[in-house]
Amino acid sequence: MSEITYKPGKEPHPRETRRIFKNIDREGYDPSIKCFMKDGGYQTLKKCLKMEPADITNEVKKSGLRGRGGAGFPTGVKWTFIPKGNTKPVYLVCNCDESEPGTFKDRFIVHQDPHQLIEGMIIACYAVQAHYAVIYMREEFPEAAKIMQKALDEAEAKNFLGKNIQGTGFDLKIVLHRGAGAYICGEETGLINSIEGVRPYPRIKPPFFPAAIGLYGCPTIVNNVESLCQVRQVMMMGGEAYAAEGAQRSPGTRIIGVSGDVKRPGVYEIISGSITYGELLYDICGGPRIGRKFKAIIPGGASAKVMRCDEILKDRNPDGTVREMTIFDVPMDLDSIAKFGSMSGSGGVIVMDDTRSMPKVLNNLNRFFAWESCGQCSPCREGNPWMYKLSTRICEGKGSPEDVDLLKSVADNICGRTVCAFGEACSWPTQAFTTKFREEFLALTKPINALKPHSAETAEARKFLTRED
Amino acid sequence: MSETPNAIDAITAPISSPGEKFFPKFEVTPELVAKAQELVALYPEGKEQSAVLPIIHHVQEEFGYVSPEAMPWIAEMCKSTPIHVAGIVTFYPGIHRKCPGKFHFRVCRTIACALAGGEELLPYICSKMGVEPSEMTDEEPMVVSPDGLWSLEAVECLANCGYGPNVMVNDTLYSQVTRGKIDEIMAACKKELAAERKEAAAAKKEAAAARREAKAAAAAEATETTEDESATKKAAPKKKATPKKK
Amino acid sequence: MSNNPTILPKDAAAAEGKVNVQINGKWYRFPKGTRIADACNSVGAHVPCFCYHPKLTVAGSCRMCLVEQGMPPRLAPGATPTYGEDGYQPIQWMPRAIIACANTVAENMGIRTEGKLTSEARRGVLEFLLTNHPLDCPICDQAGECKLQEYTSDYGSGTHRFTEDKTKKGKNISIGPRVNLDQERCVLCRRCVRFMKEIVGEEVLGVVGRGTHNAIACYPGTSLDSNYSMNVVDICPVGAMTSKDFRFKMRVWFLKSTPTIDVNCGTGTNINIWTREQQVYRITPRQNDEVNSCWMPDSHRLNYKYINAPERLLTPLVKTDHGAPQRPSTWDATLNMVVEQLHSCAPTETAIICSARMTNEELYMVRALARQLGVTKIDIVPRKGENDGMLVSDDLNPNTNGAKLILGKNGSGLPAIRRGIKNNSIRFLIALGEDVTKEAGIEAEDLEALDYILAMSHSENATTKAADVVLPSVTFAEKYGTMINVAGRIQRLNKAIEPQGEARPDWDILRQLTEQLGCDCPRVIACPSPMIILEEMAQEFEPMKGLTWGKIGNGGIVIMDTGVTIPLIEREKAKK
Repeated sequence: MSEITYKPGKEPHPRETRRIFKNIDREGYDPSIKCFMKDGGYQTLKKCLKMEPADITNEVKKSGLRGRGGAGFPTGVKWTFIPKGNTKPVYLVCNCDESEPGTFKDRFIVHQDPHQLIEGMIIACYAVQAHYAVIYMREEFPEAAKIMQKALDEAEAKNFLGKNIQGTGFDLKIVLHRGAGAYICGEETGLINSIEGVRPYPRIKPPFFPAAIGLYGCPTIVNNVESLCQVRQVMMMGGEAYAAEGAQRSPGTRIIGVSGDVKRPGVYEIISGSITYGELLYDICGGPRIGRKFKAIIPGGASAKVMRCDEILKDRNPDGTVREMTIFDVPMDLDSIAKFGSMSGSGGVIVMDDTRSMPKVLNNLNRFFAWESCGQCSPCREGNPWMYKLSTRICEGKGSPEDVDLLKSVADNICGRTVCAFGEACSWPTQAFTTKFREEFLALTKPINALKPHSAETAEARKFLTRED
Repeated sequence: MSETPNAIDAITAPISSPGEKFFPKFEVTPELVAKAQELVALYPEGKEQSAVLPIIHHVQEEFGYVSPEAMPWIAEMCKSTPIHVAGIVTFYPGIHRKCPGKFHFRVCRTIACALAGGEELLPYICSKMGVEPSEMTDEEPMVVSPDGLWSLEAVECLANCGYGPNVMVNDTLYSQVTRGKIDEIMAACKKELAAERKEAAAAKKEAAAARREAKAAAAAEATETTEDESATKKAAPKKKATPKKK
Repeated sequence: MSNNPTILPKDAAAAEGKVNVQINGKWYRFPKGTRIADACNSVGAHVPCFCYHPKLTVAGSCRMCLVEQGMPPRLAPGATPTYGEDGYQPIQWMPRAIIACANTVAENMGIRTEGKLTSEARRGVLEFLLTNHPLDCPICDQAGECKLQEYTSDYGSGTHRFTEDKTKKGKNISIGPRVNLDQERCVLCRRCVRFMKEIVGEEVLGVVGRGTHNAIACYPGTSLDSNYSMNVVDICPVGAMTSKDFRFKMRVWFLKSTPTIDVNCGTGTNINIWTREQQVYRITPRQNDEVNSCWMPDSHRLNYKYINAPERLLTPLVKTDHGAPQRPSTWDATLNMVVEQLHSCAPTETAIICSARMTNEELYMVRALARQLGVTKIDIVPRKGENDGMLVSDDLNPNTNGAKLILGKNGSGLPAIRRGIKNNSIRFLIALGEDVTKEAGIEAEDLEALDYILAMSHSENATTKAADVVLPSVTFAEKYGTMINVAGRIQRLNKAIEPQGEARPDWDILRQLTEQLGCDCPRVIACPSPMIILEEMAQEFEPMKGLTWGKIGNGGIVIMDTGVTIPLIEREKAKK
């Protein structure tokens, strides 16, 4: 294989390991099938098509590959959830609705290296014996939709798609389905409803676990773009080799997107757990801008709980002793940050420096969640606009100290009580911001803004109205 | 009487927009029906409703937006009901119920772009377009300039967070956008429009010439019926040439 | 107490196809597949719900029915479960509440409908639902039977914390000819949307908008005009869907409801009549899964206005002379006069046209009267309509089967009576509960030509106007009785209001008349109530054998096989 060179200014950082992103910003590389095949593309598929489908699933299980959409569920295990003895068609859906703020990894794959995804999808479809697959692409990627459609046509012309693929008797049709600008379509059952052409309300689970009752009521596997590319990587390397690399419980490479207040924001592919947040932000991203200090980090997409940079985190060593550290010492794998109450989610790291007002950051997030709530279930539909209105009022200096507690309490009332994980996604930021940066919120409030009972009698009457339980 | 429509009638109340002059009016043509049928065929049999978003996207590409007249037609095409289509159209912010301008600007306002200064671009773009920022509301997030050339919408995350502020103009994404870059983009848009207009004018002129010629030929044909065949032969290739030119 | 119970509860339950579930500390047994909400409600552990309706698909979106749930601890591979002294495994409670509507019971499951987790969840959901609610209970028709009001009172917080601007939505929109919509009161449970789509099969309602702007709507130019539209008013848990007919008419807490049946067709839809001070204000369907499920057609529901209408006959009317105008009279004088007149009517020249809208008890008395008079020309008036494939039967008489059973008549003798009147072989007519100029097809001029007409009716009509004597009877809302529906089910009518004016129940008029005509059969004249008549009939008619008023109950009993089914009920059963 020839030496890989990258476009000027787009060279990978030495601490990166480019696997999925091997061809991103590569000199002389284009999204055509010719380019992809010259580089060994579709060879893995050919190998896989000679295997038993169950063996591919086993290989993926062995690799320990975990989904890259945010929840981190083991991909191979997900595939085995298709009911035994199923007689209905099986569908595979590629979730390319990349919409978690702070996450911007899949866009590079679908714009610059679409065949990598297609190959991964075909392998996955073969493994679960799906003959119909859908790429659900967000509406904000119109160029990618054109590139992807062209790539699908090319793959079909070369008989990697269509009837009797490579003479194996395996048929597969992949349809590109575009969304229309809704965050909720990133939720897998919302996404399935969007494909079915109904309002993309997430479905209740149980009973609507997609692997059992998914698209058109049939077993459906929903995987993220990066996950499917990783599947190809697993089959290329072998499950054991894949599992041997990186963090034990989340092996392989991870693509991290860094945005916000760092010198060099961008996307970086690293071996999972091979570096810490500190190394990512200082070494790879060049640290804070001149004259500024890091203040807070949202480690895994907008819905992850924010971490203070000066927070002392206590971790237990294997020998039982307690080790004190900060966010900068936490390794970048899928689980380490979860020990400290946040999550590494979809790998979108948003950084804020000391010039930022945290209430304003939260207000921006609250606006996002209020705008994106689908409105199906009561707590989310009514709670999100309330949180947004509250944080706006606090930011405008019209809040009282009680409003800060109220804001947190509204979030508590949403969390864990909704149809889908959006309830957690929207309440975690508020819970974390108001707890960890409480003093900043209080500083914006004035006790005089508190609502006063009209008279002493009303105050007395309220006491009777309030329940005691 | 200009009563404000009730909340239900508002679903199909037309929202006039200066952008309409840059797009054809919604019309059901055999080509449009064929395209819709082609999109329906992408999905398994009996699942025509799945094509509702693809058909909406196509309508939006052709006509700029989903007008009230389009909704029942879309419903018919994907074997659904108008209220169902209305439920879809009113749900997704990516589906316009009002015609955007010739150049539709989408400015990301979500956290990463906001940290990079995305929201500060909005008033600037508004002033360049000649619209009031206060016109952008939750219910009507899109503003269109009086000349119909521009429209602006603040949107949520465009998924290019590391390179904010991000602005999408029609299908093209611009990242790390500054005021200066906005000026450049708008200048380029204007240039594109001028080129398009010039081309359209030339095409129109040619078409007119072809029409004149055909008319003359027809007149000649009327007087000299014997030359009937040669006249049509002469006119035919000319007519075809016009659209083929590009 | 034994460490090794001979049979574990789980095995005992499994043998019956059931599972053991602990609800609020007590163990119960439910069939597999029972929804947690249904299980809890059936044992008195109330689970509040907005969106859940047992007849509709589960939406799971209101989040009101959150309950605390637990299961036995998950076992390590190879480990064997441990059982307590009571034979049950210990329950490990989940930190997250689950919805009781979508989840079904499982063996050794624990449910708590009380406690911190559920009470906080309920209070939170109610607070959210009230944030953008207009709180216009004082002028809301639903007040008093509003679930939002009820649950707030039961589980809500006494104070409000929301001080922001509310989301504005549409108010008082006419969404159909009989239904109004208030989008601000709506809790978006989508029961109405699901009802129209799943039960009626018309997708006329939908949700538009997104997030906090979500609202129920129909497509402009279309409307909620189905004959079943008013059922959405019933199932709407709040005051979003209101009935135009009932709007602002009466506060519901003043209304008394009486369970009875509808008499507009042979289905015999089970209903409640809502009354206050002898006035009927509305009719709502009453659940009977064998007859009408939870629904009823609008056409039947709204056909109650005649009960309190000015056309009601409130006193007996008599003509002193044939051709003279009618004048009010007393019951005693009228009945004496009628007896005298009937004695002079030749039985061979007399016909009785009665009605399959009468109860079995009334028909029994009609038969007694006919026998007493010796009249053999007797029949009912058949009414055929179109079956709507839902609940409206093609038989528009509610008691055709009763008439067949008691009188042995189905309307086939009517043409002969009509001919007899035309050719003057019938000179005397007794019209009971029918306007014979309508479906019976007797022309007004032929009626004129008759020597004598005795009419019994609750309202004025062409026949009563032509009659020599008019006996004022009562509507279905004012009497007790039984009817047999198209499927052979005998059902009870209950009296919701007292007879209007001096009107008397039909059975009583007929009984008295028969007695005064000289009948001495104690099985007729000694009957003090329709319930006793029913017992008399039970001795005579094979299908009614052993029936009593109490045994029929509010749900009715199938007493004959008619081979006729109710389409909507068949569909519902097929779905199960």
